[in-house]
Amino acid sequence: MKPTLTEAIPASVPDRRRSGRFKNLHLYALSVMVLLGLWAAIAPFFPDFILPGPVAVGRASWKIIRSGEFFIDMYYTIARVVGGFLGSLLVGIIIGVGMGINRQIETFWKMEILIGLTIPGLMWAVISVLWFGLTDFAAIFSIIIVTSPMITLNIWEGTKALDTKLVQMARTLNTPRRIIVREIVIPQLIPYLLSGTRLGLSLAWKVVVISEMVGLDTGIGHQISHWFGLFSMTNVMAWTLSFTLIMLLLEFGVIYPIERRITRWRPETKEAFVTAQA
Amino acid sequence: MATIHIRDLSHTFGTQNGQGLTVLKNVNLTVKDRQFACLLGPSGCGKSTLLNMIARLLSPSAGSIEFEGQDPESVNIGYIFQEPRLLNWRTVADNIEFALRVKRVPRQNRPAIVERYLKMVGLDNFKHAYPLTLSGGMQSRVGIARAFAIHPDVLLMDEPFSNLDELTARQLRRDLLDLWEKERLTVLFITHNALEAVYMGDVVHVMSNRPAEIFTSREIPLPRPRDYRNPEIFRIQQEIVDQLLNRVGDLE
Repeated sequence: MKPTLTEAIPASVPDRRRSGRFKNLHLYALSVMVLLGLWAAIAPFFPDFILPGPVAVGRASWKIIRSGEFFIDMYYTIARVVGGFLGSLLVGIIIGVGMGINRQIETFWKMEILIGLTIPGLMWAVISVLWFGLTDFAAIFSIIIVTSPMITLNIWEGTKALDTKLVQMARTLNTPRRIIVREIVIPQLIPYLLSGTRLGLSLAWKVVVISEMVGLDTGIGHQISHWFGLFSMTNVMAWTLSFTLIMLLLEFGVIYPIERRITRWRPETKEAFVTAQA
Repeated sequence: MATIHIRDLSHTFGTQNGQGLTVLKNVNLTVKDRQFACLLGPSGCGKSTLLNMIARLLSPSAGSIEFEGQDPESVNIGYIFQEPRLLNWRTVADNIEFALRVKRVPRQNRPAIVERYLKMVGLDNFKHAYPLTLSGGMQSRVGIARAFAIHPDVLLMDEPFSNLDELTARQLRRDLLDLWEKERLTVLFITHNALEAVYMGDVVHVMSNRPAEIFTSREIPLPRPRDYRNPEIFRIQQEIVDQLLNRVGDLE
């Protein structure tokens, strides 16, 4: 076959595999600068116990980071999030896939998801401390309860959207079931899993800090609550700021590159991390 | 080698009210080895159901499908669908490689085969492109390359060009026939377009409405390559359409 006149085949397609790191880096930088600038401009009008300036907070952050204190508590917080998140991933995949393939399972869990998404995370943080005491499991439990509806919802959508015509195509080739699952089903679920992960993680961070504030004696939330009790706004903000920095690093350094890699086949990759944080 | 015998084939789908919907009734059809057979019929008459039974995606309610001298389980089937049905998250080359891998072609032989068939469909510059960045016609070409690459005993096609504009469709028909003449596969090609059937086929089998049966078959003795401007093609096409209209009219 020759390339045709009627189709106007272009000589080649731009190789998308390497294109685009962070576009508009200067705008991201500007955005951060503006925020810091506003903060620095307003802070002098308030006493330190209400609003300390960015320099003071930065210095306090540096101190807790350098002393290593920060990483000990960060470790506890992250470990709880990872544990809770793996649990809710398991729950979400089982229920979500079930809902996608069976009408009765779907109807049964639809209501539960709606209820789960409506109840405030704070309530679960308090309840699980009451139920399980001042334990790691209390934090993990509340993360599972709060994030699994979000993950289930995404997996459910993904399962319903599976293209069965591709499965049929594979069956005409006599493709073994395990290859169909690995090459056709899972790749179609991954974008949904990813957006569930992103939304679920952002909920998990909030819940874990609340749990730690309410009842645990380790973790970022505990430190915030500790310094709050001592009326040290500078330290409250230093812990919050350091925590936020780590979260941003995780977003830009881990999740965003993974997402770009996995979804590079789409003609237009959205700047997804902006939409998902909303 | 790959002659297909279809005998007294019927298919009934189960329906909600328990009555069942009979889409095919006593279909008898022989597709000879290396023949390009077209199956023409109105939309919804059960052509795709027949194809899906040959591809073993569906089991017949009655009757049999035999491949001369071959175990039906081991028959290698190529299927080109109405949509390209590509794995959009894999590159063009990987899509073809996927089919070869499923067919257990040794790893070291695959790149050359992929290369060869992409060249044959004019897409050798697009190996690393992802399907969604290609035009509809180009995606169809990938589907065609994938089906030919596995050297099927039988190639089934289900209205592969009906979603394309006529100009692209004409080019692809021409190119598909070129490929077929090189490889000489046994082909069963489904269409609702009588002109397409006469242009492509060695023989055109015409199906009636549901429950469908083949009520007439017509050899097309015209030499290849054929030309749409050949008045003979148009005349035969007109006769077939008239026969079909008569038949469908009978049922109403």
